[in-house]
Amino acid sequence: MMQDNTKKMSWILRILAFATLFTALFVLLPSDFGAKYISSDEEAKGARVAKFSIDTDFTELEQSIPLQLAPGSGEEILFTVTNNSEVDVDFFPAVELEGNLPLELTVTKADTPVLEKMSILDSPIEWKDELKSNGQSLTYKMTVSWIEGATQYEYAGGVGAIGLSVRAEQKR
Amino acid sequence: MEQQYSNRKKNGRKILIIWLIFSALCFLVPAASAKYQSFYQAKPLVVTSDSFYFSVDLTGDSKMENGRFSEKEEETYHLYGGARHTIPMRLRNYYDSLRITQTKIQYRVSVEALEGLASVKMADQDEIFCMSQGENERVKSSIQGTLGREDTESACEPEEQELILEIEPYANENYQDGEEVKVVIESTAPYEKTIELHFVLHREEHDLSYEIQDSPGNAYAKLIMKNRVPNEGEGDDLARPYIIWPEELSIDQTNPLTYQLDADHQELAHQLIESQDAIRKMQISRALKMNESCSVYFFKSDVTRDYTKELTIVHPDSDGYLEIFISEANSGTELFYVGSLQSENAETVFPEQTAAVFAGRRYLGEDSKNLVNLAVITKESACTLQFTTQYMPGKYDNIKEILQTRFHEIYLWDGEDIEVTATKAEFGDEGAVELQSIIKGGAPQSTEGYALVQESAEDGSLVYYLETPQDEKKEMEVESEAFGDFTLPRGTMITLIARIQDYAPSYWYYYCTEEKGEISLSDFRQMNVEDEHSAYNLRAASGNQVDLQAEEWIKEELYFIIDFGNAEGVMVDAQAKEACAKLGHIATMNGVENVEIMYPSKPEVSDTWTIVGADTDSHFIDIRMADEERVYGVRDTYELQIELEENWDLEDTRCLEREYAVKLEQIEVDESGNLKTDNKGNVITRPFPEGMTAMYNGQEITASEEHRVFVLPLGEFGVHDVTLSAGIAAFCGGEDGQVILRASLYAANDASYYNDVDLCKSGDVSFFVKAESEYALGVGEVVVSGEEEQGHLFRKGETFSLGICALEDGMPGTEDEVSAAVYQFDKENQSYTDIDWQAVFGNEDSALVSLSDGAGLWEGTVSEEALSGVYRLEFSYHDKMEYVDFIVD
Repeated sequence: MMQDNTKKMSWILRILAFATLFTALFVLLPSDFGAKYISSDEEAKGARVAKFSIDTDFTELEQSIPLQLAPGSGEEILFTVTNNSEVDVDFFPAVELEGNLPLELTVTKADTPVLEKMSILDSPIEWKDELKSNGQSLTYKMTVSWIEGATQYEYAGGVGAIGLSVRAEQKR
Repeated sequence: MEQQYSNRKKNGRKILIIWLIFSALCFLVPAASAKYQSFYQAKPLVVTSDSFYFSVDLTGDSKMENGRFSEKEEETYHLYGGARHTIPMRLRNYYDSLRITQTKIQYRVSVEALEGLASVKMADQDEIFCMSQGENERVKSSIQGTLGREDTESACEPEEQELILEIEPYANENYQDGEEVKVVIESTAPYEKTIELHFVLHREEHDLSYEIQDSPGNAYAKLIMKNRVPNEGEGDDLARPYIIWPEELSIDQTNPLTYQLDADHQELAHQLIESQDAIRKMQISRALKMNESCSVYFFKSDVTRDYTKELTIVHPDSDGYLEIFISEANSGTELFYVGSLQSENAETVFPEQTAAVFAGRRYLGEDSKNLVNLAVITKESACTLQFTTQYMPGKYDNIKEILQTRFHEIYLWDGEDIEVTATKAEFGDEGAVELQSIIKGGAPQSTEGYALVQESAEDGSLVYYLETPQDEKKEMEVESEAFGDFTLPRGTMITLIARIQDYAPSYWYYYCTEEKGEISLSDFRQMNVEDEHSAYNLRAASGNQVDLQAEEWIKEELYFIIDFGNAEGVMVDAQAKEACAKLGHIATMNGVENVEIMYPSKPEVSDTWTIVGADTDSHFIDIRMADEERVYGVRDTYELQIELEENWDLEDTRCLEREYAVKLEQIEVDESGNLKTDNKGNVITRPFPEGMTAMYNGQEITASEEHRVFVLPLGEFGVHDVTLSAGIAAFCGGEDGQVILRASLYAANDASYYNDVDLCKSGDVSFFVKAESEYALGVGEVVVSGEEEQGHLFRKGETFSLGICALEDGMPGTEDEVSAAVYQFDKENQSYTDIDWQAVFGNEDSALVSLSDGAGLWEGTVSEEALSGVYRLEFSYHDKMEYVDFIVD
């Protein structure tokens, strides 16, 4: 009898150990990376998870030919974030400027004043916005321009790069 | 055992309870915090800007320093004198043929100076766009323009806009020494670049200076004048000084400053000499040029007097006139001569013709030297003859004295190594000839010890031998012999200085209005005397002291100075030189007896020292480049310094001149650096390019049309800056190689007689100018290796490439390499730091790019260890540099 109990206890402990290990795996992994919930789309093709779908349109930014700028010139670049999820989302666009050109970048969204303004020295910047569920979208106008007055000839022949990323998460 | 079992059971329960709690938390906590998250990143957008090239040819070359172009954006020039300075400035939208700004450049040029002092205009337009303005204050005005095309469909071509800056120092009465004209050239779009040019004006301390050179015993005193004010035209009285002198002096009326010729050179009209109270006054016949130095002789009636006067500065009087007062030293009088610094003296040449005098007179000194100065007759030369005769006027009534010119030339040749022999000949009873010099390899050499011997052959003919210092005898063949009258060409001016017994000398002149082989002495007119008694005769020449009926020996010394300066049909020096060269081996002897050389003392010509080589002892002239290493590419100027240093030991007073000119000419050099010579051994000179100019002392001097050499009126001792307007390539006719820029020193004041060059040592003034090619460097688009895509943003480990194009004088550069360096951009300090190549690129080999037919491909792989940031990749090809920027992500 005692031997039976001992065997039973041993099995229980084995099962518990396995369950503990299994649970720990879920506990230790951050919930953000939970494969069960997360979709990732580096190529901006949209989410593939039915209940959480964020679409981005970076077409105007992703050009193969470098953008040519000179003093007094500028370029407007639109990008759009659409929430096709069944949940509301908070999202965080981030813009980064790099290079040796005297560039200035402003971000606005429809019918709003300048949302963000930065120069290379301020880079990077990130701001927060939100989208309601089921198809609400926001289009941003990113204007990159030569800083007024920075017309010294030493800037000629320089180079710069504009990076953009968007992080989105379900609103609670 | 039971107890043991009981304990285990309790422990198991505890574990079970803990596990249940733990498990509940494990499932509840994540469930409580779980939410959807996603992350999206766009491919970065690369931004670039076009290169910008904007330059002006009056600044030095750009260079790269620590990854940045170091543009020379400021330059200062010094301008001397009050003449109008015309300075061309070329604005350019390029650095070289491969680096052109691909957009339209807007620029503005402004000038800041006293009112009316400076103006700027487009070279192709007469309209002045920009003139300094304001009421006696420095003000600024500007003009605007564009370079390059608006159209950006096709590539822009190199373009330049020439502007003319004109500075007139005397245009503003407040002009001071050290006044500055500032020209600011700014590009205003698309980029701003400012270039400042400063022109500092130096006003001379005086307007006219003069001095008088004389000593007791001299037959004449010499007035030397130098003009420092601008010449506003022939009618400008400010540059036409009055000379005032005592009547005991006779102004040299053969000097062109004392007369004017009509268009046909038939009539000679002397300037009016005003006479009042034993004082005479005359205004010179033409305005002196800016910085011109000239002189006039004054013949003395009492040679024991001394009219020396130290350098004196003259300012205009209240009427605006300059007056020069000549007076005896210690009491008050003087004399002069004018010698233009612009004379086109060339090489020393040797005689082919001589002049002779035959007159009804008994010559003194039968055994004296039968010498004549054997000078080639050119516009820059003159013959000087001296006769000393003696006769009884009472016994030789109605003698007509005639100056007759004849020549006798014998051309000799030995057919071997004696190339040219010229003589200061003397054939005595034994037929010996004293040689003046022998030329071998083009350089005059001492003739000491040489002799030309004339002997009679058995058949009665004359045979000539050359005796060398080693007593070798070389028989000379007679090539040809000529004898006959020589006519003085129209325009020849002859001065006669007559000295009868011990009476004061008198001065006479004769102007050939037509060709003359014989001239009666009675046709000479006395200087400074305008009446009918001015014709030459013995009594007048003696100051009316000689009794024409006297039957005693009267000594008559006659000095003729024959000046060909205005003569027609007379060869210029280059022609004379060429003629002599064609004649080849010449020995010239004169057929004149009882003729002695009087030392040259004729105005309008100057002594010439021919620089003959680099091995002379004295160094009284030194020429050096301002910057030996500097080679101008885009820039089309070339600077040198000429230093005149007074350090010779002189006994000959002719070398005590105080004004000098330097002749600049090019000498061809072979590949070994040796002087090129023609078949006669003469160095080959190369004319300067047509239109080439030299800027000296604020004057723009153009190479003479005939010789294409420069004669620079340097004036006094010291260092003189000269700018030549053509690039170095122009010196070599666009070919690589070397030429020698040779300078010859001229004394500017004294007569230009080509004799006795040995008396004044010459200095080594040659230096090499190495012509170098003009290079261009272009860098193509950056391309990711293996892809068509352009880019300037790379990840570590990524390889990218770009094309290199290099030109040499417009042709593909070959067998050369382009080197590369890399700099890192410091965002905070906006600066670039030179970093190790391998810190960015793993392959050291990529720091060099080999060229093939002017093209090369640079390829580099970003090192895995490279830090993220902005980098500048700089390429160098000879003196050209270009860069591209890229970002490592």
